[in-house]
Amino acid sequence: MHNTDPAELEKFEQLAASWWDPAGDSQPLHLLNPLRFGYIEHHATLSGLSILDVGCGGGLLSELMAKAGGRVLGIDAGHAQVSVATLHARDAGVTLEYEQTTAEQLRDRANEAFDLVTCMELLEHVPDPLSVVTACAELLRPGGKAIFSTINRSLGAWLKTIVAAEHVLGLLPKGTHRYENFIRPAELAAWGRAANLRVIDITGVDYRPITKTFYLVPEPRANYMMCLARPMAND
Amino acid sequence: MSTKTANGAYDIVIIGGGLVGTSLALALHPLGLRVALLEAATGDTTPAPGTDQRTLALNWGSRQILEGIGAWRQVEPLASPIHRLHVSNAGHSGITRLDRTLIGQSALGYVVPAHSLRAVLTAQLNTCGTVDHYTPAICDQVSVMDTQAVVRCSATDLSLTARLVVLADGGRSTLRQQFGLDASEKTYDQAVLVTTVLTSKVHGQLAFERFTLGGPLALLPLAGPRFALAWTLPADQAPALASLPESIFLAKLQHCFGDRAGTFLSATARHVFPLHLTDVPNAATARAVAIGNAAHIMHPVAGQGLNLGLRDVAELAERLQAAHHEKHDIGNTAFLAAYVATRRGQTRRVLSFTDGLVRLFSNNVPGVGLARNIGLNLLDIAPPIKRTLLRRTTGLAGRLPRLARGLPLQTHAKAPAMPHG
Repeated sequence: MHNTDPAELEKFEQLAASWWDPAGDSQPLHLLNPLRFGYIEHHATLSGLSILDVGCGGGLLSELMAKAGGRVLGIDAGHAQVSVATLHARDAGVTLEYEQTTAEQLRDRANEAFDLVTCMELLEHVPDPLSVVTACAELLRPGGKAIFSTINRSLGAWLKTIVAAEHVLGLLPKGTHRYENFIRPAELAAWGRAANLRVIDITGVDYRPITKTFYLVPEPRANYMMCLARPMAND
Repeated sequence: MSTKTANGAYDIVIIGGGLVGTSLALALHPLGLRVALLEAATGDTTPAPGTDQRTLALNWGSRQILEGIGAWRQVEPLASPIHRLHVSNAGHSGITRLDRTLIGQSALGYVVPAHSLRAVLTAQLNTCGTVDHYTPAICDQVSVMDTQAVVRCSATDLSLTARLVVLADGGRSTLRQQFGLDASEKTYDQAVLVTTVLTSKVHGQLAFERFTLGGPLALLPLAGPRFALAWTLPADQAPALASLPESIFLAKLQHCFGDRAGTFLSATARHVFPLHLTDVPNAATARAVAIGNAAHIMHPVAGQGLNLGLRDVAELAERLQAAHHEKHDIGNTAFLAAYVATRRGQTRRVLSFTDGLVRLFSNNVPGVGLARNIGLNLLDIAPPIKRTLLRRTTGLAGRLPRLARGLPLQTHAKAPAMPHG
């Protein structure tokens, strides 16, 4: 499987068992999930859309999007993730599909096109994020939207996501993030444009340790989400 | 959905395949009556994803009715519950908070995208299989005979007879006039601007209603950190506000509403609707009855539009059940007059309540501001008054028809036509 980092995959395989535990190692994801979902629904009314969730992990976001009426395919390079996600969806009675694959492999084999591609907290964990962004763009139908989230490569981001979150607050297991893998919004936007996408919106995500809550903020200081659109064929 | 050009004889022909008409068809499903539903729109009544951005506020009573017609299980995952309501008054101190515990239910109400609700109801109708669904069918002629009415769609060469014609064709109903049902209209000098806003923080299922000089502003919680905004404004200001650049619009909203809901970060397309009140005091004549928006359109201040329409459905369906089991004529004037008399009380109360709210809170006469501050504060410290107000607006007041208690109609049980208070 190309464009996956075995060490990164191994890290998340170990997390898989506790993925759906709101108080476990994946707690930040549970806190973040309503914000991510709200942002996505704000930019794409999900009901009736065909949706690809790249790097679906345990399926936290995939299930929410399926419950909102989307026809969701969740993909992840990790076997444990896909198993956890599949089992949980079955228990919860949510209808959606999962597959162990990558965006690039899906693009290469499929003649599928999606109305919406989401790729959350993945780009900072792969060796070649540009390749993922390009594959996501090519999996969109004209007029479709892609939504990415990742972490800005800035001093503030390093302090927040590595020093504070991993070492001081213990919000994330140590070694979850590597600074050099973070992506500046300008870089992500440029990769998107190179793949014929138009930037619709950039919104930051902020964590306030005292209230233990995530917030959306206008500036992409550390964590951020970006919504891009593939132009209609005649645009 | 098929287009039929045959002629048919029915017990009930429902004109209008919107939310109210479809709900009535579903409610009648267990009774075994011959029912036809005529929808003017072409083909699939579900608009393309993302085109119908309206958001509906369902009260607890409406939730019960959807449960009774077997649709709530599909609607619930798409609905965002309102746990609490915060009411405030711009520039004044008056505040009141209404909590779901006051009505002892798990939510005060729900916020549902109109297109989602429509998709669920239409899918349900297509699977139930007992209703003949004619689409597109634009009914343009009616004639009333002694024991039946005839409705015709000249464009599609369709002619149907019915013992009862139910007009659920919305506010622009033209058939209403053909049946001689007179409407009284009242226009407000106001328009409502609707959009969806993304805010900085999750809302904990809290809804806001803020009374400003221009009119009331409502924020209803959607999934995630999002609200459906309904902002009532003077009619001459609304279009200008809607066409402002997004960032300036958001700044104006923030200025007008304050920071209670966090920072407004983004807004979807903004739409403006003029406001008017339509009331059909006598909503029935021989062989025909108007329900939903065809019988009443009100100011959306208290979010009661669809709720009142669904309550029409519940009451009419229950009376039809009783009449059907007792082999009474379901289209005669006496039967319909009894239905109208029952509905009239609630409709009039809600119409005058919402109309009064609008006038009270849009009025800049000295003293009125003070009175509404005192009113809101009194309301806040007097749970019994709150409870009464909530029971009114959540659809739990008065005798509840079966469907409004969340129960489907029964095929053979005897349903008494109880007198009303």
